[in-house]
Amino acid sequence: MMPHHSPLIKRSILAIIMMFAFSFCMVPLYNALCKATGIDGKGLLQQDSQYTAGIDVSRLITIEFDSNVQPSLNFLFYPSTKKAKIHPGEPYTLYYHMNNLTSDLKIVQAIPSVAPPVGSKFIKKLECFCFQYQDFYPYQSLMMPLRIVIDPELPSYIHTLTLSYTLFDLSSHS
Amino acid sequence: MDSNTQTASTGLLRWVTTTNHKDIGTLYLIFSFTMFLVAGLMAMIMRAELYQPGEHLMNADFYNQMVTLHGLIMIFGAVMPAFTGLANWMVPLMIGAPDMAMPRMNNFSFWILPVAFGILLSTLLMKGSAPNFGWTFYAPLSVKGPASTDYFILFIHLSGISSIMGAINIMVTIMNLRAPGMTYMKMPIFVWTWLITSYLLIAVMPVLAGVVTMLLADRHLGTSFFNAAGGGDPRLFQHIFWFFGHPEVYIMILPAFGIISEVIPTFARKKLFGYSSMVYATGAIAMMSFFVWAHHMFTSGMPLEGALFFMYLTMLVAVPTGVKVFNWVATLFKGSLTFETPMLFALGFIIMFTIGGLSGLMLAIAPADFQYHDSYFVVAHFHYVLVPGAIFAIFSAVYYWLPKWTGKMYSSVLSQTHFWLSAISVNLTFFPMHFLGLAGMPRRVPDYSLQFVDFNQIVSIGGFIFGLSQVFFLFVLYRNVTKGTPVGAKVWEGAHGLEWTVPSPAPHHTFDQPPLLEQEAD
Amino acid sequence: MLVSIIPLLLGICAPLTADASWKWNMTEGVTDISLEVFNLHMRIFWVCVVIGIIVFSLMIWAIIFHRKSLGHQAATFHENVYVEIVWTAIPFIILVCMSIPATRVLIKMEDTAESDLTIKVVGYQWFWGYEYPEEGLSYFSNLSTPMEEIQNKVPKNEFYLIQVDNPVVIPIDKKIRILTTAADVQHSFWVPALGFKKDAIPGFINESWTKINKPGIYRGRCAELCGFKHAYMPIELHAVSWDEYQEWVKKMKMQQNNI
Repeated sequence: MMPHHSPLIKRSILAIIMMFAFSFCMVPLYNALCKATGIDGKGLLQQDSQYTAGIDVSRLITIEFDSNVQPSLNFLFYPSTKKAKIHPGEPYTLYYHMNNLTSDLKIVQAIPSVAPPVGSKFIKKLECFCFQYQDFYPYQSLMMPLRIVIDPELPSYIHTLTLSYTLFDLSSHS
Repeated sequence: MDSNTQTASTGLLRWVTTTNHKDIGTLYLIFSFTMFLVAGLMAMIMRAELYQPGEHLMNADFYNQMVTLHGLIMIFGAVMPAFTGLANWMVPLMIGAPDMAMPRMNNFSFWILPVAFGILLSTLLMKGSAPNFGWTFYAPLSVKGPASTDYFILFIHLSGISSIMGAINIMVTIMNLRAPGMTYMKMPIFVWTWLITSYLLIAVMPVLAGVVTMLLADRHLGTSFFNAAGGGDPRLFQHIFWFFGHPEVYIMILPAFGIISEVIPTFARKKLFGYSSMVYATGAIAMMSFFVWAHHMFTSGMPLEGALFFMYLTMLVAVPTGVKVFNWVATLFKGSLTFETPMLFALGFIIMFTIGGLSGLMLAIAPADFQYHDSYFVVAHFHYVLVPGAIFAIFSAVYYWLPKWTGKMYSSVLSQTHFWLSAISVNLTFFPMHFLGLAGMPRRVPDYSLQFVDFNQIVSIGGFIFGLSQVFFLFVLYRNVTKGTPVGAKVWEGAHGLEWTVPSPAPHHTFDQPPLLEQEAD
Repeated sequence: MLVSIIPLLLGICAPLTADASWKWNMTEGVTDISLEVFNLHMRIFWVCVVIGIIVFSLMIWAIIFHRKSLGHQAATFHENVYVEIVWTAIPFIILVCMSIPATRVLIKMEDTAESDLTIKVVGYQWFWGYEYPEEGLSYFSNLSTPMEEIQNKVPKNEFYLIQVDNPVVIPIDKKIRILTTAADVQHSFWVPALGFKKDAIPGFINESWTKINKPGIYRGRCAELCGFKHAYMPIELHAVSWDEYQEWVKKMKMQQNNI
């Protein structure tokens, strides 16, 4: 009496398809986990323009502003302030200088990253240039505003945050 | 008897169209040894360059190509097909089945491999370079990789399909075709380890297929899975890759554990100590292997809680692994030992795999790993578990079952020479790598500063001797086939199991009727 | 088998020779953290050595005394629940004991107290960029070993492949926050004397900290395959007194402004 192999084979193939799909599901899963736990600074691309909080005058947080430019992109990109000491809950405004040094039309986007990673949950952006692609005419120069508030819920062991932006060239993606 | 040796076709066509598990097992084994020599040659090329500092025989890019292809071919072309070949030959014999569950798919699983590796090796001739980003092909380096990267992706899909089909076949065979009376807890341990390995393969090879498809998409379809510019993350690559990668290394060692658990009881003339624990320990190792992947990523910028979780779980895997080692030692202890070649390789495995496992335990300590990671200490660790680990287990299996396959006993002098040459040179090659890593030498470099010269020279010399010893192995095989003395069904005095009840060489078709299992005294 | 002892003995005997090139152990480094990491390493190493000795001794005993050729008859035992529980529990306990100091050191490394100075390290294909945001300094650091040495035309100097044109300079006794990122592909910043390694990932910023106790020159390497010249982008770190650091900053600023 030959045993029937089809049930097992069908189940194996189903498992294979599910695991293949799972590997793709890992992408949104990773982003969701990072946002929820604050790891990896994934929460930074959202704007919280309605965010308000009481100012916590008992704490002063050092926040450093950093900028990086992709080497192939000939742009000047730097913050108006490198370092500031602000109270949690206190809105702070600075500008990032962005200067297209080429004779071409450029589309760029600034991608944020925070150290320590958990800090990304506690930096609320009221206004940020990182939310959309920026078009630049040849040699155009812009001062892009950044308004942030540090959430007073920031864990007490954190004294210093670094907010870093990397400018990427997306011109070929239009 | 004649109808038993008759095959459907003859000559070369027989080998192309065969659906016989013994033929296909032979094909896998010959293929895997060929790939072992090819990838071994690449290692010799690397060691020749590393014999002294400075650029001598090749530029850094070619060296990186050797690094990449050596890893890919050893893993996917040598170790995995060898274990699959052993499964093909031995699992049906060990469970009293006439053949694998799906003999035609079995043929196809094998024949994909020469095509896949032909494609991979042809990348060496392509414009630009062959893949040069390491077998772990991290993004964004691989996203920016040469044109041959797309062929590398095709290669991964093809060999993945082969592995998956092989795994389904082995799993269905073991679950459905055991002789009546052979319950799961009466199966030989080699069969158990392959059953568990087949589950691992089915679970994680599709994940590798997924990540490699994402890479293809990032390269050509404008997606940004691994590119921060589009909202992606290079670390995502590492997570998905190592989710596959860690179970993969257990896929490469569990069948080895099974082999050792067959060989030691035979030559100790004593039953395997703790059969059930061995089964449960193997299962525990397999399940835990899914939860430790990020120990390959401790330096990537991980929050404290993540590092602690992965550190604790990785250390925990040492417990069932240790149980297995203790059980083997307890099998040896108070046995009646003889030291034929399979036993020599098995004993070598236990000692040297344990050394590799212990260095793995050191790597699990996350703060210490910050110093070990991506250094030669890691290279030492994984070569110890793979070479005097998996490869020695494969040699042990071949020397153990070869008389069953060919019907002839090989020369003990020649085979023991192969063992001693291999065992001594493997230590000369890989032990000093621990020191190199601790002293600060990073991985994947064709050139190094002067404080690393002396140990590198020992390593290179050891490597050349080891390589030559494997060519010597070909001679041992040749002598077995041409001049070996005939043997009976039960080749080894202490051997137990259904495979030893059929004649040697095993007839082309065995167990057309399922065997009657003897009642084994407990 | 026993042959694996031979290279081990060779290695242990090596320090007895006066030749400095036979370096065989991790460095204790020059920071508190690097010393703690070294101690962790030695602790787990000795645990492994003891386990190895116990297991291998039993094996060797069996190999010598339980041979068939000596007439030894095989015993028949093949299970013992109590023994198995013991040899499962004992390693588990050893691991728990090991994980406690490891956890402590990991927590210490997470210490985010105020630092005195921040520097940013950027990995490029194939050199490093260093930025001192508070000083307004930024420069590149390239391998300075001459091509003739790499191509074996002239003898190699003492610092072959671990020397750069512009080293990174850090004051001792100050808590330094090190930010790492990369401009193109993944790199990894590794200076063994500091006791840590951190990946440099394009588009993301990682942070580590260090506090160097001893002035000196410490050398490291890129530790993530980043292409063609992965082996040719070393790190040369000069740890100097606070005053020397200030002098160096002044000098570098002048150089920067003159260009």
